[in-house]
Amino acid sequence: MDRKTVASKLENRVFDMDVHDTDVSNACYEALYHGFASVQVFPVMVEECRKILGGSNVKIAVLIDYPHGGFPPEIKKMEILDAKKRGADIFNVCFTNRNVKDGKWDLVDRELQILREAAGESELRIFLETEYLTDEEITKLCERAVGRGIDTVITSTGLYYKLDKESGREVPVRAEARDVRLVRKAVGERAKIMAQGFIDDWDLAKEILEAGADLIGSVKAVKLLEEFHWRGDEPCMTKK
Amino acid sequence: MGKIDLKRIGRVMDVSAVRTDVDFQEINQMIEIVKKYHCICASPMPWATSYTIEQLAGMDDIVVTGVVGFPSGADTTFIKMATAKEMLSMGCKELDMVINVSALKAGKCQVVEDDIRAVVEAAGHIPVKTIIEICYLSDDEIRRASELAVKAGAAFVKTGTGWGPRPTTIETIRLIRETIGDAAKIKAAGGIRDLDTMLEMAEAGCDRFGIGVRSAVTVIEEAERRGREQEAGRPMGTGAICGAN
Repeated sequence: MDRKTVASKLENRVFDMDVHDTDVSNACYEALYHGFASVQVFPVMVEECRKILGGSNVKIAVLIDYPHGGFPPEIKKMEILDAKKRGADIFNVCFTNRNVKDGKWDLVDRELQILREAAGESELRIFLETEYLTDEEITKLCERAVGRGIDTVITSTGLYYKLDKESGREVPVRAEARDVRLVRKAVGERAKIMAQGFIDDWDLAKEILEAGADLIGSVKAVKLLEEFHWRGDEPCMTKK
Repeated sequence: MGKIDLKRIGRVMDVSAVRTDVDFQEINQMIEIVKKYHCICASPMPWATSYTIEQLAGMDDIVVTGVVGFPSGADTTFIKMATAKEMLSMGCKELDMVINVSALKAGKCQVVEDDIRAVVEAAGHIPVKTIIEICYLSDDEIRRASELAVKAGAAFVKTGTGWGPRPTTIETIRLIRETIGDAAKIKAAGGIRDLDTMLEMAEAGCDRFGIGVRSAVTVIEEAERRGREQEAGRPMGTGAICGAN
């Protein structure tokens, strides 16, 4: 892989709500400078991003119903249409996972269909939240999603923490290569896979890309690229 | 508001089930609790809003609140208005909306105010609680957000969504009360899990408490126990409540 290829697999994200305008515009300029695939932002930030990224190759991915996906699909549809009007290219939608958990597959299908219609020709992605679903639920949801024409599945929002049994502390839920392989098995080549969730060093990013992920969403996109630049495919000297 | 009536503590409690991993079982627990203890308000995840309203039909002293722009606050004003209308059409009698935090951080006060006002107007006579998400704000920003909420016609200034990293403290309640005077009510939410904290906050001018399903029962039962002891003339128990630390 060369630097350009790696950059084209990265989505630079704005994570917290307490960001300043400058954080948002920085994320855009970083994406322009490094040639990232896209930026991932909240709905209120889309217009500002458009001003900077208009006419460039960097796409704007907007978070819909982030982070819980608990609003009715009709509201998600409005959010998608509204964001599209403001200049968003890609829709990263949090899915109503409750219906997956409860096995309400008719509601799952209904939501997928509403989202697909709302997004039209634009790229549509859904968050799986792999740490919350069982392998069986992930597989089933992926199959339904590709069946309804979802373009990309995202492993996780990367928002959540879990209890580490050894240390007794809350640790961030990091994306895992096994999840990527599981998702790949379910979607085949019918959908792209984006991995997300505390992917903050090149070692993990590399592992995830090798497992078959097409894209990586991270707040540390610049750091990932720099580490690749300096280390290439060499393993990290300081790795624990 | 001053003193809480310990035997009717439910009247100042919004019992909430608004985390991602909330399931039907927890929603049902919430409904049981508000029914049993006549809590003033139930706050479900939006996928359960209609269901909660159905289950509480006929309970005239209990309302269901609808969440708007929750929990990021980063939805556009247009979407917040649309969500508010949707929640009202489901039958919500209160709304809990999150302000545009990044606009506040950027000093765009007019944007924040207009955003709140649009939801207040969409809500009509339904009270709007504006969540200012204090965990992200400096004291100055807390003052500014509270003022803007009042100016835009909000019924409540609410401290947090419960999703943020920092709990609401008594100092924050004092700060907001000092800032807004009697112009609006205050709802504390986020990290409130025991009765003593609630009583202290009430003294400092807090009117309403958002509390999760797990802590709600402990708090209510402790309050009722102390209420009975007060009546019987025994000294009031103090100290941490078992299981609610």
